[in-house]
Amino acid sequence: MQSARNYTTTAYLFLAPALILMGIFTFWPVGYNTWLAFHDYAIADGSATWNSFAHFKYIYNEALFHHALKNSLLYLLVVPCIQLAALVMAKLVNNRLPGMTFFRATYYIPVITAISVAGVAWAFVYKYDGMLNGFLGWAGHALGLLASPQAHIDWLGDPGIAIYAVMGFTFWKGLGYYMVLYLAGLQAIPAEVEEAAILDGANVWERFWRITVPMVKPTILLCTLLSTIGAMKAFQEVIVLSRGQADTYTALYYVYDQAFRNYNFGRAAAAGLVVTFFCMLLAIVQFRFFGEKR
Amino acid sequence: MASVSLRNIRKNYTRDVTVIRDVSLDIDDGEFIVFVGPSGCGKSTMLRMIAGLEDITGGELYIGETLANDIHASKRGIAMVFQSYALYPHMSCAENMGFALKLAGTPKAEIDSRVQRAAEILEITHLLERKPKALSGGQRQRVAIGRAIVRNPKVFLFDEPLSNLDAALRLNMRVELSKLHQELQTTMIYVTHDQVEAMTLADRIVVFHAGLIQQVGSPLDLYENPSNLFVAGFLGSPKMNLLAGVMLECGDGLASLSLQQGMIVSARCNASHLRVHDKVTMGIRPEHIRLVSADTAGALAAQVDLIEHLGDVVLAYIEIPGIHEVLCMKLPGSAPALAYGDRIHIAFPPEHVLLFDHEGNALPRLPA
Amino acid sequence: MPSRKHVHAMLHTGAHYTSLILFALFTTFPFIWALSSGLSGDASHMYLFPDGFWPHEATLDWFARVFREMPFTTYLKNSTILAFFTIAGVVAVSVLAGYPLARMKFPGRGLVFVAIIATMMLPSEVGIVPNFITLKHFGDAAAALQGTLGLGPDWNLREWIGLNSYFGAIVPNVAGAFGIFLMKQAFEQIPQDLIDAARVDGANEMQILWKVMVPVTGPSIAALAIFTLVSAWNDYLWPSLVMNSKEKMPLAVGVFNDLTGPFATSDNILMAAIVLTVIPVLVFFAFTQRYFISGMDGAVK
Repeated sequence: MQSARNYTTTAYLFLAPALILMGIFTFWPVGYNTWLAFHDYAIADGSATWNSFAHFKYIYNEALFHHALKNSLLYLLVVPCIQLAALVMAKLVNNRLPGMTFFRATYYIPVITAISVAGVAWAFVYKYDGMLNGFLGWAGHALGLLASPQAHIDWLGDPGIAIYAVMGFTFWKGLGYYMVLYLAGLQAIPAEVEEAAILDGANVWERFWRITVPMVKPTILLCTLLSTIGAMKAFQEVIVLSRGQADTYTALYYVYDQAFRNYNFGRAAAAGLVVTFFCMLLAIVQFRFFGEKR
Repeated sequence: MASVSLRNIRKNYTRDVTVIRDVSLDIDDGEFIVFVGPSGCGKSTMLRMIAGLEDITGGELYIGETLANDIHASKRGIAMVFQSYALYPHMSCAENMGFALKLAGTPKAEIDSRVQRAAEILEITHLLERKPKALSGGQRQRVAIGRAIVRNPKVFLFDEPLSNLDAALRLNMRVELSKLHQELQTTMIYVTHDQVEAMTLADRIVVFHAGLIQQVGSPLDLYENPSNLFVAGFLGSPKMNLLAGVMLECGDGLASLSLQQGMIVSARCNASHLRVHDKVTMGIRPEHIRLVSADTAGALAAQVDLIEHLGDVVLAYIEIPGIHEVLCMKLPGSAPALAYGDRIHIAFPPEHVLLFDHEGNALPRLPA
Repeated sequence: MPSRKHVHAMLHTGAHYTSLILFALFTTFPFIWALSSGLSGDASHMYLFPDGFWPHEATLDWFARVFREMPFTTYLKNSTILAFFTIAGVVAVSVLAGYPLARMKFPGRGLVFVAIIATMMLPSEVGIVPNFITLKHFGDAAAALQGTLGLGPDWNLREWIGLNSYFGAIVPNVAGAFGIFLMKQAFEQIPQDLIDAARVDGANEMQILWKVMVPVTGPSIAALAIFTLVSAWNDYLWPSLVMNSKEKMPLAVGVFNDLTGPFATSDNILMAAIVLTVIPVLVFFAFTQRYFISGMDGAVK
């Protein structure tokens, strides 16, 4: 046998690239971010001066940051919608009927397109004279609700609506991802269970709520955890769709905005720390939930 | 070719978990030795320690004259055949067989010729270019054995190599392994939980239980003179019948004991170190129970519970009234027909009755 | 006459496929619309429903103009470079790290594994600011080295490893918990006997990894490569921050900037550009989609 020390050295040599890179680009930022949060940082010459809790005090009192936090919490509304729709979708494609591969692939397309490019397409959809208004006008006119075939909703400009429009984009983009996770969960359920329920006389609706949902509960928990954290961290959608206009700041968009438009890296770090704290809190709560299940 | 010596081998996984307690054994050069025992008895761990896949906690392992404890697995001159075949799925059979030589830097021409020779011995020449996926279980096992032969090892190690094969194939491979051993005359150490494999293949059997060697000996010796209750119960199918009793006579001559309900049985064993009323266990193999007429001396009344016709033999499961143990007796297939519920009489010939003291150790048998 | 049961089954299947198609329309309509707008010579129907969903006066002019008015091929080249090196890095790092975590016993293994998995819970976006600064330092260090070595200004080492470098766009994405976890799972699936056999055959740890484990886990490595390709190809935020010269921008950044910037001359050309950006991914996806489904499978179980 090799000597134990030699063996351990080999193991750590294998791990070295991962540990070094993660050390620099994953672990170091956590510490550095915390340090930055208590300093004024000048990007030009890299100088930093200690300013105690000034950044935290500032964002504590700033209305924009409050709005951003509120919007991030509001964003959690997208979680139940996306979970239910993705589960229904997975259920629809989980069979051996012809064409299922095509539908599965189709549902996954939004996931594999760049968020920036998909965002531009959706900006056209949401435009004041865009496709969504065109569609609503057509539908309203056809149903006799509207006089002219043109609806007039400013999807990305109206502060009461814009954040929901951005959430709609998130919903569209994430649906396929969770569909695939649910599909994997559903495929683990033996077909006999569903067949037994049919013999017992359960209809489609009853089977969905009483058989499918309870049996994919572990997957539901996993997906909820993932999409909750995802929703808390949403901000690229904001960058590509609304640039924070019309009351669409989210918490991380605020961080991004402070860092790369205001170049106030210290304040960005402080806000980022607050967001991290919220994310960890959510993760811990849901992990406890998980821990009991396993 | 080499002998293998184990000197006081111990294996602990953690301080409290001991798998091998204290094993010493000398395996002769060219011997076919089988480690047998129930799962978890330590036999596989012992084999993996000889192979160099597990550290040896204490004791010394010699392969040939060399202390091998700290030699790397590939340098010990051993080759191993695994239960799951462990063929590399991405290599052809020839590449599988030549992998070790290639790693050792053997010239390609020599690898080819050695692979070819091994393939001829095993009659798998036509499979050499195929991938393992395209082979049947039996063919894969041959390739795995071929991989071992190619290395020209001093010792072959087999870890339950036939367990994944179906019954007919297993029988076939068993015969082939015996032939292979005769041809190569190399030391082989073979681990199995199947006592039939052990009985048929081994020059000597080593019975393991709870991390200790229970007995070492030739198959017949172990079958006829098990040294303790564990070995007696483990070897033989159907199992040896075991009944509890107390000693009545412990002299130098014929010993006798009393079963429950006062039935008396004699045994040709030396019970001189026991005393009257000591608890003992008697054992008798199914084929040694005699069917007798009611007036024979020592006849015991019994009732038939179940009959199994196996063609060449008949297995009768019988119960002696008052003793809640089902006994199994093996009768020739041509024996008089028995049926469920039949009342019969049986006898235990004293020369075939074994006695075990309260610790389970066998009493020495008296010469006939 | 079809039986009642038969009619019922047909209705059921009909409703099933109707729902499937409605969902499919929802997930794809922006692309269908973009395609038909990009093909339309007459732009006046673009925002009308349902007219916008088929081309009017079909033409390929807009697509041709995308190539003329945008450095589309440069972006394409940059995306390819970024994706290729990200994949190579991720696969190498994940395979190397996954093996000892799955198959070797050494002190500190549990701690290392927990540390790596814990990063999955950190919001990675928070690392953006520090990483930006780290890369700036890298660039400064490279520039200082250039000065020390007395190399001419043409070398511009700053943009080899600092901001506005391919290296900077790639390197923070190379070591990730997802890849390491995926490979660890894959290595754990391999029977112990196979590794033992290789060890008896005389392979050292590197040879076991390279000659036995890597070939055997081919499908998992392929899945990892594909996932990495898609995420690298689509990554917008980080390259948009690191890359500030147009010559180095990948598609997701360059096209977005051009679409939303002053170059945006007509909506139809934008739609054509969107279609052109999405097509490579779609073609790739069409060939590899089974890996997405099965790769995820492993992640759930």
